[in-house]
This record gives sequence, C-alpha cells and structure tokens, in this order.
Amino acid sequence: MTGKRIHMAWFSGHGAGPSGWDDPAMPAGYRWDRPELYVDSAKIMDRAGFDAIVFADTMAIPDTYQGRMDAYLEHAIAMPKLDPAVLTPMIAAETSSIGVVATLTTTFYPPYLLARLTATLDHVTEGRSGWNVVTAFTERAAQNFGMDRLPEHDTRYDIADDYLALCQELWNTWDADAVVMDRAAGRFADPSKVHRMAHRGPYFTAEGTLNVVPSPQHRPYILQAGSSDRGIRFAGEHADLVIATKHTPAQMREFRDRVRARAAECGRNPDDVKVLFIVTPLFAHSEDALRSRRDALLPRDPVAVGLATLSVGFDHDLSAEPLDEPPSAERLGPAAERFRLPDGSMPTLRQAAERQAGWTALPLEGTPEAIATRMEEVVEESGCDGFAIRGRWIPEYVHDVSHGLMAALRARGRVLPPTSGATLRERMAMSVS
Amino acid sequence: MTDTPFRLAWFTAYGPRGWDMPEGVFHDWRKPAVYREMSSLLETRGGFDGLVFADTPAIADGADIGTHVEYGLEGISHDPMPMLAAVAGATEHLGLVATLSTQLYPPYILARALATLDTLSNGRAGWNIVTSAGSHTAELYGRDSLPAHDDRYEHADEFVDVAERLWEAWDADAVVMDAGTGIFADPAKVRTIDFEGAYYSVRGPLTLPRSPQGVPVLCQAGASDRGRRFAAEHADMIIVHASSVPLMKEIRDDIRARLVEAGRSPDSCKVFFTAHVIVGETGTEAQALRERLEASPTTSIEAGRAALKATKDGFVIQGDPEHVADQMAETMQEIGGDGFAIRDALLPSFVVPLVDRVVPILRRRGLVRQNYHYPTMRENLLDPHFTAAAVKEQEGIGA
Repeated sequence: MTGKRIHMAWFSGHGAGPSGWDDPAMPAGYRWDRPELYVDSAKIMDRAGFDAIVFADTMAIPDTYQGRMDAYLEHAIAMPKLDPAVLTPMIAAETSSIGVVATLTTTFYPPYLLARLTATLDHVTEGRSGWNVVTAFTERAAQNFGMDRLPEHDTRYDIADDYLALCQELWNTWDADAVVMDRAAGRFADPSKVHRMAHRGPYFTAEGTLNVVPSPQHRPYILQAGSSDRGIRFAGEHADLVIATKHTPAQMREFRDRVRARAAECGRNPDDVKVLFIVTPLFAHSEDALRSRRDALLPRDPVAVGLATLSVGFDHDLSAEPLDEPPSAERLGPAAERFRLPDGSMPTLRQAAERQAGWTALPLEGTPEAIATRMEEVVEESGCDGFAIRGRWIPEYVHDVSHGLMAALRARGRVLPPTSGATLRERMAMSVS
Repeated sequence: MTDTPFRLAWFTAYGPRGWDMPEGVFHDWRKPAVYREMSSLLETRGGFDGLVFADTPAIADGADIGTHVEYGLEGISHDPMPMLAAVAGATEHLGLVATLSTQLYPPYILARALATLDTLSNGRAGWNIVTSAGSHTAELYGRDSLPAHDDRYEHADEFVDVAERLWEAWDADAVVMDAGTGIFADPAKVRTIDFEGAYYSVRGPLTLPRSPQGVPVLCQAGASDRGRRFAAEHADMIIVHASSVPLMKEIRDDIRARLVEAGRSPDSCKVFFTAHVIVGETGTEAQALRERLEASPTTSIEAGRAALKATKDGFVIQGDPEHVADQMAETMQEIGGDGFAIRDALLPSFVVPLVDRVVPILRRRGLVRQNYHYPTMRENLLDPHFTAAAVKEQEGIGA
C-alpha cells in the first residue's frame, strides 16, 4: 500500500561545522573545513531522494556558561560555523535534485543585501535554494554588529515582517517574463516589465530596483524554525516549510494544526506549508549495537557539554547552579519549567544536562525497515508532512540514512525519487504515486 | 634586454556580459556551468592568477535604468560571492576575488563570508575593496546619501582594520582537534577583538578558525589619489584602467613609490592593467570579431553614452596569436610589470583562443606562469621566484 508522501530533509543543526569531528566512525582524510565532507554526502542524499539540506547558523561564539568561551571552544559546542551561503552553492553545483537551504538572519543583514544574496543563490542553485529566516537570539551576536542588545523577541518578528515585505517588493521589481534576451533584435529585457518600488514600512525605508534578474523560483523557498506563538504567526504568514522539535505525535499534531490555522487566516492554502519534525534515527540490528551507537553520540564530558548547551538556550549561566537539585524556579524564573520532562517529572540539573548531551526528541531506533515503519505510524498519528533528519556528516550515517532508511521508504512509495529540472518549491508540492 | 614575465587575471562580473554573443544561447550567463568551465580553462591551460568579479550594487546609478535594462548593460549584476563559491568547487589553484563594498556590508558578515570562501577554497579568496557611491544605491539602502569620496575611504580604512582583526582573532594553531583528549580548540588562542572605532563597534571573534591565508588577498581598483594611498597601505594587487602604455607606466611607477613611502617593498603589490584581448587565426579574423562586438547594441549604446563610465574605450590588444603575444610582451616590457586583467566576457570566444593559442607562445618565451608552486593565491601572486629564467626552466627550454 502507498500512503501520503513523506517529505525528508537533512538538518545540519550544528550549522556548517564539525559535528562529530572526534566520532570514531569519521574516516581519516575527511575534514570539516573542506567541501568534500559535505559535497560527497550531499550527492548520496541527492540520489536517495532527500528533498533538502538545511544548514542552521548563528553569528557568535557563546560565552554564557562560566562567562567564558572556553567550554564552547574546547568541546566545539555551537561553533565553529562556516558561512552557509558560501557552502550551499558548492553543494548545489554537484547535485541535481536536492534543495539547499541557508539560515540567514533578518536582524543583521541589510535587507537589500539579503534580497540580492537570496535571489543570486536561487540563480546559482538553478532554483533549488531556500532561506531559513531567523531573527537571531543572542546579545553576543548583536555585539558583533554594533548593537548592545537585541530588540525584544516579538519586536524582532515585527521587524522581520517588514523586512520580508521589503524583500518581496524588491524581488517583484522584475516581472517573471521581463528578460527576453532576443539576440536578433539586441534586446535584453522589456523595460516596461521592470519597476521601481518604494517601501515605507514601520522599520525600513527603501526605493529602487533590484539589479538581479528574476530567479527560477522568483521568491526563494522560505523556511521557519521558531516555535513561539509569534514564530508560528510569522511561519503561517510567510513560510513554505516549518521545522520543529516535538516529543510525541500528539504534540506534533497540535503544533502543525496551529501553523495551518494561521496560514488559513492569512488567506493561504494550509497545504502550501509543510511541517517537518526533527528526529535522529539510530540504526542498529541489536540492543548491544544500539547501546554503542548511543555511547558514540555522547560527548566525553556530557555534564559540561550539556550545561554549556543549555546555558545558551536559557540565556543563563548554569555553572553556578547546584547540580544535584532540580533547576530552581526562584533563580531561573518561569524558564525553569522548560526542564520538565514529557512525563511531568522534574530532573536534577545534572540529569537534564546529561539528557541534553545525548538528546533526541522522538526516539527512532532499530533497523531501517523498523524505523521506516515507525515513521509511517508517526505520520499517520500526527498528520505531519515528514521529517528533518538531524545527523552528523559522517559517511557511515549518511549511508545508513540514504541506502537504508530512504530505500525502505522508497520501496513503500513514500518518498519522491530525485527530480531533475524542478525547483525546490515545485518538488515539495509534488505527490508520490 | 631582460624579459619581464607577467601575470594574468580575468576581470568580469556575474552579470549578462556577452549575453548577445551567438554562443550565449548555449552558455546561459545566469547558470554556473559556463563560469565553472571557463575558470577551469583559465587555470589548467592559462595559468591565470585569479578570476576577479566586479560588482555594481544598483542598476545605472544616478541615471535612468530603462536603457540599461533594455540592452543588458553593466549594473545588472548579481552578488559575486555565491558564483565564486560555485567556481571554487571546479578549480584548485585559481584565485577568487570578490568585489564587496565597505559601505554596504557589515564588517562581520563580510569578514566571515571571505574567511569561509578562503577556507573552502584552501586559501584562494581575494577581496576587491570598493567604497560605493551613487544616489540609487543609497536609496536602496534607505539612506539619504552615501558619504563623500574621501570620507568613504576613512570608513574603508577602519573597516579593513576591523576585518583584519577579525581574521586574526583565532591564532593559526588554535584548532588542535586532539582525538585523545576530545579538545577541539585551545581557548587561550582565541580572543574577542572588542573594537570600538569612529564608525564600527565589533566584539568578535569570528565563528570560524583562521583561514589558510588568514587575510584574503586584498585588491583595490580606484585610481584617485586617495584610492592609491589606500592601495599603498593595504593592497596585494591593484587593478588599473588606463588607455595608453605611457599612462600605465606612470601609474605603476607612482604606486611603487607610494608603497616605498608606506614602508612596503614595491614588489609586495602587483599592478594589473585591464585590457580587451581579441584573438583571431589571422589579423583579419580578429578585426571581424572586433567589428561584430562593436556592432552589438550593448557596445554601441555604451560607447555612445558619454554619461556612462566609458567601458569600451579601454586598452585593446588584437590580432593573430603571434601578434597578440608580441603586443602583450612589449607592453609589459615598457611598463615594467606586473600583469593584465583581461576584461572580456567569460565566454569561449574570448577564453579559448587566448589560453590555447597565445599562452603557449608566451610560455615558450618564459613570460607567463606554467604551473602553480604554492597552495594559496597570495603566495603565487607574490612568488619571488617568478622570473623568465625560472619559467623557461620549467618549460624545459633552459634560461
């Protein structure tokens, strides 16, 4: 039997960086700072029918934990990161079907620069580019751009609304059919189809014409990954794709329903917004093998790595908090509630840190066939559109995911084979069968 | 008489250059294939030092855009960085120089993008430093105007200072990647820069380790007095538009004097002169190609519009391969160095005859690079052993 299509993305949650540099499964000769590690794997994913590769990004090295950058530098946490807008064209040039998505922040890029960059990326990838819209979240990043602090969370989204409106006006300055390139007549484009825009928004003012000709998708494929109420409002209005982390099919369904409801409110067809959930399947045939896979994913110092990671997420230095007590609401405020486990219990800080370090949201473990079956069940239970595999750029893992899991899903008619010549937006809208 | 060996660069843009050439049908200027293929030829058969992408942030700044749109003139220009990244994947030695404006980029974004290109290309990134002007550009950025010329260079001086500090905030040996201890980087070797200047405030460091070159090759293309002073302080290479050989010599001599004044070796910065190079099997064929180019509406319109920067009145070398080789050699002999920046569309009509017919002649005379001795762009550009005798020896000709 075949059912609904399952969309499959690869989510490079560490950004373009060295996740798994010291994993014993990493073959000698591959370096995180050379393109081959990413390009070789992307070619395999391309042939396996992955829909897109998404690179996360941030614009600073954190120093929240212990007030120093040390833990982050020593354990390669949340850094280092290459500029994803430079890596993605290299991947696109060596693949033919898969989309490539770079995270780019509306808080730090001047809008004209970013409208031009994203339109150019769409040309260079021949219509397979995406833009993961983020508003940035750390003051350290702001301080790399001459700001003392960031605007408030919801205000950043208000700014992003105005920003996206401006980008859209810039992309629209050229009609889709403006370029004619009539060599006999010596006519490049029809000037009556190229316009001047004047934007007067609450945050941005700009006038003129974009100097990039219309790109294959005209507007790059837009992603959004924030799951706050304000983030969901933004996604419902602008996004083609939302990726999120949820623990259970019920939570996934609730989240997806909210995104779709918001899209409908904005006058959009809810089916035009796909919602994928982040998972990290572990492939193994036996319990022993699974245990060693889990161990390989654990850092050497899970408590320090977990605390340093959590400190960034909570924007609070957890190094001074008592390790063997539950996180205190007195000191952390309402944010302490975010430590609560799905079963309702409150872990100690040490437990929370260890859990963070080896963390996976929705457990998916076993053989590729078993994982494919569980994925089909989760899609049935949650209504979700598919998954974003958060994995390390390790050839063995890419092989398991591509030749194991994707092959199993393909045999069941759940994933789309590679497409040639389709844009990312066109590919995402296609159905299997 | 000693022969003066010289360097070659290609100077173009990611835009519709040569869109109306008959071969444009097969080589869509919007897609990466033609840039990747031609760049590979520049490197494997041409021994070029670099590919330089010019950039223009707005269409026809200060003028009506209609004519520019109708004929596909300069000003329609895509962001150079993504295409240079695509070219990086198709080449191994060619330098990749992006024109990026200090007026339009935040320093952190620019420094990070170039450090990434330098890292992923294994040390081949370059930055052509420009300071944008023009009312259209200002409007697109929501500003009333951009600063006056000399003020822009004050900004640029500070911008380059910030960028260099960012590029050097990680020591070269900061990344240890010790599998035994699980330590990725040594925190003692990575610092914030805490820059507070007149125009910029940047905390740092960058999110990635020091790239192979550390600081990318710095290039400059403004010929004003202030621009030349800026170049003498910062640049590894300079691109100059000049219409006559005596003027070229005068400019190069002046730049070398300024380098000495700035306390630098006059050989520490290479001067490239832009030239259109039109090669035919015979002189008649070259003339026919030139006439076809000049009959193109894009060319005649441009040439006829005095208000535009006169882009086609540059220095032209044309003829059969022997004649072009002679002209290039004699010109360089008179100027004293350092290279040509070929200013034509990156299309087979221009690239193939040059690399396949002219370069072999120049190589036999020991005048252009046979192969690359170093991994990085700067090392090859400033290679002190790049002499006619050395080139002939590699060619097996003997000095």
